[in-house]
Amino acid sequence: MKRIKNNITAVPFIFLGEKTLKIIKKLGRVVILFAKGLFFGFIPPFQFSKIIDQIYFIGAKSMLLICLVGSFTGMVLGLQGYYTLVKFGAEGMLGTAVALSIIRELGPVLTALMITGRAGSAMAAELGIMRNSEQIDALKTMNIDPVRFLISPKIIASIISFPLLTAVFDVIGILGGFITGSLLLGIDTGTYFSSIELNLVISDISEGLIKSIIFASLVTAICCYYGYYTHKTRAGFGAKGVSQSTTSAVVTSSVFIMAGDYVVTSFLL
Amino acid sequence: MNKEIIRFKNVVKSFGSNLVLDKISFSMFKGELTAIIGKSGIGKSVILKHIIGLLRPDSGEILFEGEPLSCMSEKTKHQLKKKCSYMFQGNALFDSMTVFDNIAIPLTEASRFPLFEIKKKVENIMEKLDLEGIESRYPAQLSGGMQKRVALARALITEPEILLFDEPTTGLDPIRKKEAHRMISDYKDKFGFTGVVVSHEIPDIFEISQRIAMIDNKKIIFEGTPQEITESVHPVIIEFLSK
Repeated sequence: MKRIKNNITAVPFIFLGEKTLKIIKKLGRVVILFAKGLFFGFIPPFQFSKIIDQIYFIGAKSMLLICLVGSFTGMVLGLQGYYTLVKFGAEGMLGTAVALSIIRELGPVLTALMITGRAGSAMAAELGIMRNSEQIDALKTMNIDPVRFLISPKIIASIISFPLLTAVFDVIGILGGFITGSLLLGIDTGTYFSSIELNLVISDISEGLIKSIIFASLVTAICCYYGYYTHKTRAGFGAKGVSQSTTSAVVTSSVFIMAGDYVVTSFLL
Repeated sequence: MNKEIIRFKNVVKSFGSNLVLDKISFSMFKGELTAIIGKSGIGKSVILKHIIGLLRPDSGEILFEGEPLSCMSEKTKHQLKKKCSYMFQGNALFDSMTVFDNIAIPLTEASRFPLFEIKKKVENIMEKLDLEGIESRYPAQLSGGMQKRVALARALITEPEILLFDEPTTGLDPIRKKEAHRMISDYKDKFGFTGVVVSHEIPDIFEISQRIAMIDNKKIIFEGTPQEITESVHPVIIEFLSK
């Protein structure tokens, strides 16, 4: 081993190997944390009140944000879609273009990104502070499993909230497209909605909802991981550790949402 | 001499390349208050965290009533943990929960007591520790001394057989320090638990402890009674006690 280390040509491979092992270890921890949290969600005693609290925090409190982002996304799509379709004389298909773009892609992706920024960062910060102030250790000393107590309700609540928020985003987005397409640019209301009805199939909706469930799992697993293991970050303990784990949680979740979107789309298409 | 309850046997612990405990061996006895003393950052809290199971030794053994911890089943460890409580140096109170919920949490989450009984138990312990009237307050709204008492109430609510205190007087003024020591001593007599206190409050801690273990340079350099430590001729002990 020493001989290999001394060999200058081996240095990049050693570096690569160490980095790869580190990433695999990290991924393993994320998966185990998520699997444990999900498992506890189905084992009595059920934590209904904590799950409802989390649904309120992740879901209900994100409604305004989702409505705002959804409406503006739909409005922009209405404008851009009209500008493109009118060149081909196909402006009657604007409803289909807006609805399919939102339901299959933008709805689940933007909803997940918005909740990551709002609730995911909060999850990471909350767990990070609890780790730094020994509250997680305190739970362990009291025979309370911190994954069950803290992470499980967040996972279950996310899996319930993400698809519902995505559905809200979809509806608001389609209405946003209607505002610009029909009310501002003059496309017939009937044409706009009937084109959606004619061309949208149930698999488009189910694909969007499947994506949102996958994104919910990704976001919660990543954000909870970074918060729970704040003490293992480079900055370690203290305010810097929490700030680093929160940033990492949001950035990593966002990257995984985009990458996951591509993978899921390629499988479902 | 009382029955030996916890025994450290050649315990070694390091964090990365930093060796903290080097083959330490000492014992704690039932019904006694054992004080672990030594300079700051020398590994006193690490010893406590090994007892409660937050840390595991790299080598060596921790024995509970003669049985090695490493040989115990998860179920036995779980049962054993139920007998222990830990009072953290920084209190580790849940800052987003009220005082009542903080004290009740070991019972609401890890026991099968009905809610009315939990309420009764919490009210009872709050009365004993002079904490009445602050049930709905949050830890951040309390003084340092009150936070300590809430942490003690949380540690006592399960009626533990072994209570571990990690520097219980940190951040308290001299009067409050004396009060905290008296409180630990009084409650030890009242509740009859075995106590382990990490402290560097010398000589105050000698007044309430029955046994002293001193750690220095990664090893236990003294184990005995408060009287014996004051009579010790070990140069490190003499230097430590004189400061």
